[in-house]
Amino acid sequence: MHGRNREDYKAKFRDPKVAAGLEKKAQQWYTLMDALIEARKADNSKEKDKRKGTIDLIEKALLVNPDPLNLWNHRRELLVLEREEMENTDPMLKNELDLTQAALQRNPKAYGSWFHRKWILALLQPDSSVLQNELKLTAQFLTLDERNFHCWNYRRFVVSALASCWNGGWELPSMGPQIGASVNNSAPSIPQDVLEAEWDFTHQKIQHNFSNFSAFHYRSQLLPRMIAQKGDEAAILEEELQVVENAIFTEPDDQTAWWYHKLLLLEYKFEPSRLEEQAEMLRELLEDSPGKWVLVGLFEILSVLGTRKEERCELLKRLITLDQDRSTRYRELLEKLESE
Amino acid sequence: MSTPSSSEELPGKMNIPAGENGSFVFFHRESHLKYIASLSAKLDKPSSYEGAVTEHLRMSGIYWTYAALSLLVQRPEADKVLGVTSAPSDDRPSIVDWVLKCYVKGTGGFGGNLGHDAHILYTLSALQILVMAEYDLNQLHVDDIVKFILSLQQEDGSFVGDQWGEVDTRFSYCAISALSLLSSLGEINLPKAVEYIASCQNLDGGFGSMKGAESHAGQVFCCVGALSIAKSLHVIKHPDLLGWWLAERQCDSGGLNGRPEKQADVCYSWWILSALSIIGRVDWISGDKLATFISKAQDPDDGGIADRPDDMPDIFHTFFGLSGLSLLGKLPSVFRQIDPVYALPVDIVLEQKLSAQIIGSNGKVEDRLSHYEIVERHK
Ligand SMILES: [Zn+2]
Repeated sequence: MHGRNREDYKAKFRDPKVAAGLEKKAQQWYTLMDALIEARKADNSKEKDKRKGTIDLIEKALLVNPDPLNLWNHRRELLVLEREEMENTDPMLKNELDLTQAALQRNPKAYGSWFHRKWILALLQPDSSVLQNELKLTAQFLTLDERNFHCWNYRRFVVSALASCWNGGWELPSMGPQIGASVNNSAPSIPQDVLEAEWDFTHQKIQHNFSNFSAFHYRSQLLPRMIAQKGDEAAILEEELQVVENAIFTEPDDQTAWWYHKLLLLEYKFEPSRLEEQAEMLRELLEDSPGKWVLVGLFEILSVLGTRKEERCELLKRLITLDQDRSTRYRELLEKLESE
Repeated sequence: MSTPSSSEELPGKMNIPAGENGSFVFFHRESHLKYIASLSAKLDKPSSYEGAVTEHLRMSGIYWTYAALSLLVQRPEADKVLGVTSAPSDDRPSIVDWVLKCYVKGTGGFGGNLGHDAHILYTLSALQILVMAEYDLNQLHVDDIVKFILSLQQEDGSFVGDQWGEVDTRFSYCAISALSLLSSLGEINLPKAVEYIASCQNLDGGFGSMKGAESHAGQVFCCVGALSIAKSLHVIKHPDLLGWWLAERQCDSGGLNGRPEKQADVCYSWWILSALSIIGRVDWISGDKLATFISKAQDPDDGGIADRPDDMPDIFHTFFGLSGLSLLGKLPSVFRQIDPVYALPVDIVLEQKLSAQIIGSNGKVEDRLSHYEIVERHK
């Protein structure tokens, strides 16, 4: 249970009318569950009419509560049978997409609903226009909650499905894989236009809110592909440094962009002169905004450059007093640095 | 409710030290006991709305309940309060009997409730309940359960939750932990499982729910815990970075969040502290401030712990809040301690001779972890 105020919640149950309403809902739920358990036991799924009736009943239950995996499993068993007797599966696809969308509108974090959507796509393997529509749907959901990791995962699944379409097969190794950061021989290449559209999408999300680490994360996954597929590493990395600088000068105390900064420094090589330049910018920023993250960022840059040991020690000492909750870590870093 | 003599002497409301100068916060032990004792009976009523919406995960609910209670009372008392080994009344079976009835014969796994499909999540919860109840796991159809778990492993080493194919690093943890409880870890392709988990680590140091997914503190526990049981912590790239990422989850309120710039939530006390314990860096956050945050999320009247202060408690956050306090060493020593790898009381882990690996904390190791294989932190 998340985000329910205690007093409101208790008051709700104290109100006899509300309590009676909830009791009734509970009883209706169990009646529905009993009917479905009976239907599954009776195994009359071979009879088309009864099967259809059960599929509808399950839909009713899932729109009330999308969490029980049992219900989704039962539904999938019936859908597999249903499909064998179908020539045109478009209505089935539409129905499952509508159902999961309605369920997700009620609860955008239900694992079962997101998975069922993946499952029906993998089962029916629609063409890329359907998949493009799925990208639009995720964009819609991400305007409601820009950090919904289920939705981001689903978006990457769709992109990897698009990549599989493009590479001549729908063969996904299993239901899980989505594009990852590693660019090796086995990773399917993403169509250039899709890749660039995704890259732009993360950019829009970041510009809309610098606090959106989910978008920064996705960007970190796309970055090696952009470099591999477009070349011109230096220009792309320069663009990234500017995205970071833009964010940290606007919101220096927000840790989001600093993590992206850290992973860039960890994973890529930059011209020392460019890093010196950035260090200088941070020193200036410190004068107006002597916050923790600017100190941390400057320390990280200087550590990559491997210079100015004294300044680094000074930064750590300031952090020990400024960010006391994490002082043990800074002390350890200081001890190590001083002994070098 | 009767209490045995050792915990009877404990006050219902007690102080937890939370900072220098003798400052402390209250711990409402008696209220929590009341909350937990009333929970099962309440949820079982067919008129309970909460019971209806959580019916599908009752197995995990009972594990959280039993484990939470285990941190508040002595072993025999927990059994008596919940009716673990003997039926508490004529119309309710004992918990052990109920768990055994949730076993799905054809599949080899346990369901979340009677008549539900088997799933790895509930299979682990079931085994955890049974070992806490000192039920001899050899009485189960061990071969079939192992076969079920084996069938869930994919070619790339990942695990699906059941035959339908959802992949998640939560399921890697469940599979590896469950197999360890069954002394059958050798049955799966462990190196492949480890390889997949390692591929889920991100450049910020954290782990996600699958390859390419954003780092999330809950998934960090699952991945680090699984690697600990697999004795493969060496595959963690940059453990210092991971520790730093975890430490930055602490907010100004003292509570921990699951991802950057999200709200603090009591459940992350468990996911993050356990991961920090395993990699030997609990002291990278302020335990006093976290304990204060957890204590503020207690319901002093009706008991239980919520996701955050002033919210409605539930058993999930109650267990993870109590576990957080236990990992911080804030609960009195007469209480049983929680183990950060298996999420079971430490005495059970010792009795079952469960093994795992942890990273030493600058030469020091907590007592509760000293029986594990310890690897030194490299400078
Ligand atoms: Zn929570």
